Amino acid sequence: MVLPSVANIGMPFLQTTVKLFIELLYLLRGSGISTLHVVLVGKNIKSAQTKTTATLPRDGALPGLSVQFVAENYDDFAAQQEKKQPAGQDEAPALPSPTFPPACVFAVNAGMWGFDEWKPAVQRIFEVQLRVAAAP
Amino acid sequence: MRCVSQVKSIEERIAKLNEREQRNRLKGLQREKRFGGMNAYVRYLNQRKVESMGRAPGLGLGWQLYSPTINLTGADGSVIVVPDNASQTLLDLTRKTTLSLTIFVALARLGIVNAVNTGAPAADDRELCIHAAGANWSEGVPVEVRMLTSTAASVACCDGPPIGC
Repeated sequence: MVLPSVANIGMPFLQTTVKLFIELLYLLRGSGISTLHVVLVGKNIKSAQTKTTATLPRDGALPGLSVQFVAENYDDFAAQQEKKQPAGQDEAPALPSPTFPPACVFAVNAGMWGFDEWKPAVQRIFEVQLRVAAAP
Repeated sequence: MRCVSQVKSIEERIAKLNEREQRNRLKGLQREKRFGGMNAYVRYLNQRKVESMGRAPGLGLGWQLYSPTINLTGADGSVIVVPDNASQTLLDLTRKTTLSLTIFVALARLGIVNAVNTGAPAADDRELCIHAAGANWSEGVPVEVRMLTSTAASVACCDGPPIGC
C-alpha cells in the first residue's frame, strides 16, 4: 500500500491533519465516494488555521480529500451556511455547496459532558439534519 | 417519671441503631476485603464498565487519544510489549486508525456509505461531506494516554483544554 504524498500540501499542521484521514479514504474505496470533504469547526482553532483548506486529488479508487478549518462555534457556522442556501421556491437555486449540509456531524473528544455551550450547537445539528432528511 | 422513661426508651433505640450500623459496617468491611477492597458501588461500576466497554486497554481510544504501547501475543504464548520508542509509525497508526474506523463505522451504520468494501471504483460516484464540531487547536496533534492504567475519569480529564463548539 503506497500512501498518498502530503508533501506538497504546505503548512505542517495541514499535513498532519490530512494524514489523519488517509486511512478513512482507504476504507471508503469502492463505496461510491469520489471526494470526501471534511470541515473542522471550532472556536478554539488557531487563527493561522482559519479558512485554510488542504486537498488531496483523487487517486484511482482512492477518493479525493479536502480538509477545511473554520474558527467558529458550530451553531454560528451552521446558521451562516444555512443563510446561503435558497430559502423558497421562487428564489433562484444556489449552486450546491460541497461542504453544507453535511451527511454527518462528528464531535470527537469534544467534552460535551462539561460545557453548556454545546446545547445550541446540538440543537442546530438536529435542525439541519431534520431538514436534510425531509428534503426531496 | 413518664418523661424520664420516654427518654430512656429513645436512648435505647438509638443505641440499638448504632449497634446495628456498627455491625453492618463491619460486615461491609469484611465483604470489601473479599472483593479486593471494592465496596458494593465500586464493584457495580466495574462490572458495568466491563459489560459495556470491554477490556480496559481499549477504553477511550479516539481521535486524540492513542495507545503508546501494544501487547503482541506470540505463538508460544509469550507477550511482547512494543515500547514507546519502538516505532513512531506504530503510534501514528493506532491513533489514526481509531479515528478512521470510528468515522467509517458510524457512516456505515447510518447507511451513508456501504460497509462492504470491494476496493473497486463504484459507478455512482458522489461527494461526501462530514463536519467535525468542537474541533480545536490540537487537531492532528497527538495526546499520549497510558491506556493500560487509565480509567474513564482519567481519560475524560485528558480530553484537553475546554473545547468550544
